Amino acid sequence: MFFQAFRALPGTLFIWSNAMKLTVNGEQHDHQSDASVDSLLEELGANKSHTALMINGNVIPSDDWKTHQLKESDEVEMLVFVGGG
Amino acid sequence: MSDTLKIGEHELNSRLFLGTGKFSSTQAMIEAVKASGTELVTVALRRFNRDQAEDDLYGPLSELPNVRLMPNTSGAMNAKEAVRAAMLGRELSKSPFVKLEIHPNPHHLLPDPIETYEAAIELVKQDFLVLPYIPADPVLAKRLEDIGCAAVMPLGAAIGTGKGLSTADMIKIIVRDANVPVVVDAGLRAPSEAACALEMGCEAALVNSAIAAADNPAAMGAAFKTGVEAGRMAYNAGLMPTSEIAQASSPLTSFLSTND
Repeated sequence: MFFQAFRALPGTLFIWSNAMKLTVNGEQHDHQSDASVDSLLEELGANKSHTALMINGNVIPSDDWKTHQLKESDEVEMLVFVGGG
Repeated sequence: MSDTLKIGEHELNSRLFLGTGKFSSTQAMIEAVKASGTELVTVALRRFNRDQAEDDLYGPLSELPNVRLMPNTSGAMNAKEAVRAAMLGRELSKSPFVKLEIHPNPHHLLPDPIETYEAAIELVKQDFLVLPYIPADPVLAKRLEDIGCAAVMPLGAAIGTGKGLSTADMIKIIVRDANVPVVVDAGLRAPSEAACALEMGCEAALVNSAIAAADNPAAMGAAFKTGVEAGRMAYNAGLMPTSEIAQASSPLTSFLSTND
């Protein structure tokens, strides 16, 4: 499923866009491909087996990544293990 | 006789837990982990950054046989955030171990006992093996044991200070009363301090800065391995009682003296 929106350019020209506006790790991100979590991880170049995911404060298990659908304005946190005591 | 450390249903041959922060490189950390003989290492969660992919430790650590991961909850300011961090850590590591740490004040990094207690209740319900980092408070330690924590981890001194077992008297009380393993966590600088903690009856020591900030981290990892082993052996051997008066260990018969 694609999110579709009209986006205005300066003047009165409108174009058709598939981009979905997300917040990923605190930064705005225009997601271009399909709405699955899997595709977002691929788009951002994450190693899926090394990544944990939280959307709007809820942990999304990796088993659900192929089916979980992102929505406009979702706040996504992608996390990896780093050194820590 | 086997002398493994039991945390929940899990048995560990090493009584040294290692933190993986502050190392100069991933390679230095891996070499220290290997040299230390540890079977349980802590890791932290951080936002994915494509430009810093080399910081991702999951790959290098997962290649080490016999090493389990214990994600921590660092960065959590309260119980709710700690529970969330623990869930993320378990999702990624598939490990039931969690080092529960909530220290909202960056100046002293001392654990918040109230938030830690509340988070521990929830994490135990969620079937985690909860190892909380706590002040060396015997009452809190007992309360955390009562709600089902798998171990308690009182601090020896503030994180990263290297001030050793400044809380030794309190840790002795915790050890005396505990029915779960007591792991001294934070503040150690020298292997002799780890040995001392084990001699006191602590079941393990968690070390990070002392190894990561050593001139030779791998060699220091090996030194802590030996320190922990010596301390545990001494504890099992039974330390002699102390005495207020000297007691000679050699005969004092005065056959050397003469009357000339």
